[in-house]
Amino acid sequence: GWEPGLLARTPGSHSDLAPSLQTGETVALKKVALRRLEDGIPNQALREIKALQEIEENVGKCKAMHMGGGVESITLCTQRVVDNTLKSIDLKPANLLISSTGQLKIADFGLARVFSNEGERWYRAPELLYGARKYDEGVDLWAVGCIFAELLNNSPLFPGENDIEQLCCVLRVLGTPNPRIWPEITELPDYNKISFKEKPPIPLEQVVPDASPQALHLLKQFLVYPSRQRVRAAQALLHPYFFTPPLPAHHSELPIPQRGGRKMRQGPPHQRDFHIELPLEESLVDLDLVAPYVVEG
Amino acid sequence: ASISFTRFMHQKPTPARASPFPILGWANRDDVWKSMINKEQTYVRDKLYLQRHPLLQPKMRTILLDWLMEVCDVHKLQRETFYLAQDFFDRFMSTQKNIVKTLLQLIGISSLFIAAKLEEIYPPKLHQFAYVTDGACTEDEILSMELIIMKALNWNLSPLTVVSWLNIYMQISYLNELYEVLVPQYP
Repeated sequence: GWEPGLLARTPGSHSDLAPSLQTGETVALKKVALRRLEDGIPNQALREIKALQEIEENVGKCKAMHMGGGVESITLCTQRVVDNTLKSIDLKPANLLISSTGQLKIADFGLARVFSNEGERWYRAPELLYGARKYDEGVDLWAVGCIFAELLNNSPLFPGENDIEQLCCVLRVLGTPNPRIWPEITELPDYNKISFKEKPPIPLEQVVPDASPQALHLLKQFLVYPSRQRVRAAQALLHPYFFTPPLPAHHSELPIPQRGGRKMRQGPPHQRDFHIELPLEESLVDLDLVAPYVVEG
Repeated sequence: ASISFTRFMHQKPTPARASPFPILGWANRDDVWKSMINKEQTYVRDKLYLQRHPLLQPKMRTILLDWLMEVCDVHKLQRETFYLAQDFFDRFMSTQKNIVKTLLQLIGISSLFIAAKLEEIYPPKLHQFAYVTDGACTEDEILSMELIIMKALNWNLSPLTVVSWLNIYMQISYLNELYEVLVPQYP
């Protein structure tokens, strides 16, 4: 069965699980909000169906691991999806499903093709915030960076309340962009519509203080202004971060999402909740939860 | 010839030929080839479907497609949009029988309506599709035909169209002149 991810903390996710009438398997259901029907079946819904058919095999193959592994699987999925010549996916934690065996799937492809304003703002690449109409897989790599940082910090990296504030959030960390560091910016539709005070970047070491140097090194390669300069997914998978202890855990070692999450949340804090006071390693894996799933030998 | 064709139609897809692609920077060339061939098996076309529609003449399909091409031209739609619509129309027709002439335009424009929503960044609005039929199809009729088509196609909306094959043929035939082949394009 597939659970809305551990990471599904962002509001506005409408996934649920139910047994399939055809096969009896538990499937993830998605409720599509049909707000404006004057143009028939919404194109986001159509594109999501199309995109899911397009990548049916490949997404299923994605393996997940823990924290580091989480980022690795997201990166891996991104690579698979992009390889499959899909234009773009809508990466955000709410769209990541984690199975009872710890596998990770990307669930929402509704915006694969065109990014509408309903896409999740926090993970939106700066070129999109500047109104870009043409974009590439770099937007997904940006989103991977944002999710990576969110995992490291246990809170969203750029939590903008609206589109302008979103841009401010990004600018505050990365510094005010200029044509010198980001030549393509001058061609973006909204570049001349809004200008910001010149500000230097804040070192990511301060923004994500608990991250290891290697995590930071990798993170920095995702979060750069020019899309073309962002590290490619295949390349990111070879980064030393994934080969340095703590190594990515096998997905059987992942903390398992509990069924009926809503009921459990009303009780005492869940065992798998993260605690900021504890060292990162301790707060992530609960060995008791994991034990039944560890394959012996 | 038609007998052997149907016999092979339901076989498990294993590409008979090796992948014609060179080594690709962005994917495994065998996987790409296999997924393309698999699509041809999923999206089965029946070139004899007009036999199921005794009231139609082949010429009528031609006229309809020409008219759809004109509509695409007026709204400056992508070529892929047109060929998607053609695929939807043809596959829908092979699931039906005894379709009457007066329904053809509605099926055609509804196919284009779906294709545009899938393919275009700024698809024309429903009322614009109704408008180009000059009163022949109402907005409501297009909306209900959309659902009928979707159901008949079993929501299978990702065929490899004629133009996407052509795109590949052309790149392969110019292989020597290109360094990078089949890099995904973002038109």
